[in-house]
Amino acid sequence: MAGKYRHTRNIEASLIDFIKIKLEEDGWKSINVEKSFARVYKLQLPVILIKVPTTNYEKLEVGSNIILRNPVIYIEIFGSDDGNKLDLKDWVIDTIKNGFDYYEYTIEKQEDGGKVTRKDKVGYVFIRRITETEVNLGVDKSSLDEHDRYRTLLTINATLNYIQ
Amino acid sequence: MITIQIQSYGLDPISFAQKLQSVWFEFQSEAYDLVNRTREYMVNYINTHKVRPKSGSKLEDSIQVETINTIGGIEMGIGNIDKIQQIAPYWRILNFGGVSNTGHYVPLGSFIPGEPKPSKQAFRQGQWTVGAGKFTFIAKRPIQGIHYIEDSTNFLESNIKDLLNNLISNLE
Repeated sequence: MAGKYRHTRNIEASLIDFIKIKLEEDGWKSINVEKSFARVYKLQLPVILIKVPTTNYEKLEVGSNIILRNPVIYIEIFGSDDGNKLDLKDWVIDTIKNGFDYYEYTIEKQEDGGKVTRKDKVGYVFIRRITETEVNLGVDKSSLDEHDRYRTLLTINATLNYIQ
Repeated sequence: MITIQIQSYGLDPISFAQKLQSVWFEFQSEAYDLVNRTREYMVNYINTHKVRPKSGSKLEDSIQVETINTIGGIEMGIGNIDKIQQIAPYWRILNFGGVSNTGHYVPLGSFIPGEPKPSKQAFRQGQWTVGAGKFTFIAKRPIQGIHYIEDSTNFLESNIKDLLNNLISNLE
């Protein structure tokens, strides 16, 4: 049975696809791109985690029922060392600063999850602001799991230019 | 810290500054109110996003608004890190997530209230209370961060923008 992702998952999937393509184009090897926090800890470093937990909405104009979606996107870098974390973070910022294409995904339900059967470009996600936060868990790095040692969080305020 | 940059359109900077000064006290009063609302937003956010809603509220209670400076401006803070670190040292792991607190046996105790023996259900019913029983378990799963600091900062920034837009659009 086929179904369609809604906006939030479309944004997540569009960004994951965009980053994977750009990583390949720019010659990065063995970088995992993931959207499940728990799965990050089962993967080999480095990992880029994508999450879209919150969206803010505003009316496009007074008297209109059209809303503009302003998603807050979290991109978290789990580096293999400090240098790798910094390089990957700078690369991510340079790569996404101009925004990315927004696709609508059609999926087919299967026993082991959903399989993407089609994706249609229907809009664009503009990046309005990027804020960088060093993830500091307050303890000596050497005592942490290797996944928690070199982490940076990018908080991205974006606007989806696809309105309904 | 959030720094506010105001740009004027259609007025020279001196005329604009004079107009802005006429609503300065109103702005300070509204900003003071907004900081308190942001604190409420942060506390509600933690309450609604934490995995165990019935667990204690040490972190939420320790997040308070403090006025740091009122001379030549108004400087306020939400949550004093030194105090929060003492009362709720798990504030970082709840915000960012991680496995730093997992992989070892927790001290003997039980879940209260609800089913005391560790299980999926017990985890969502009660809070682990050390010394209240002879159970233990190994915390294995990564703790997922809820980013309450980043989300509240977004709330504050977006509302400051609205506040300034409203005040400035009324300047005539």
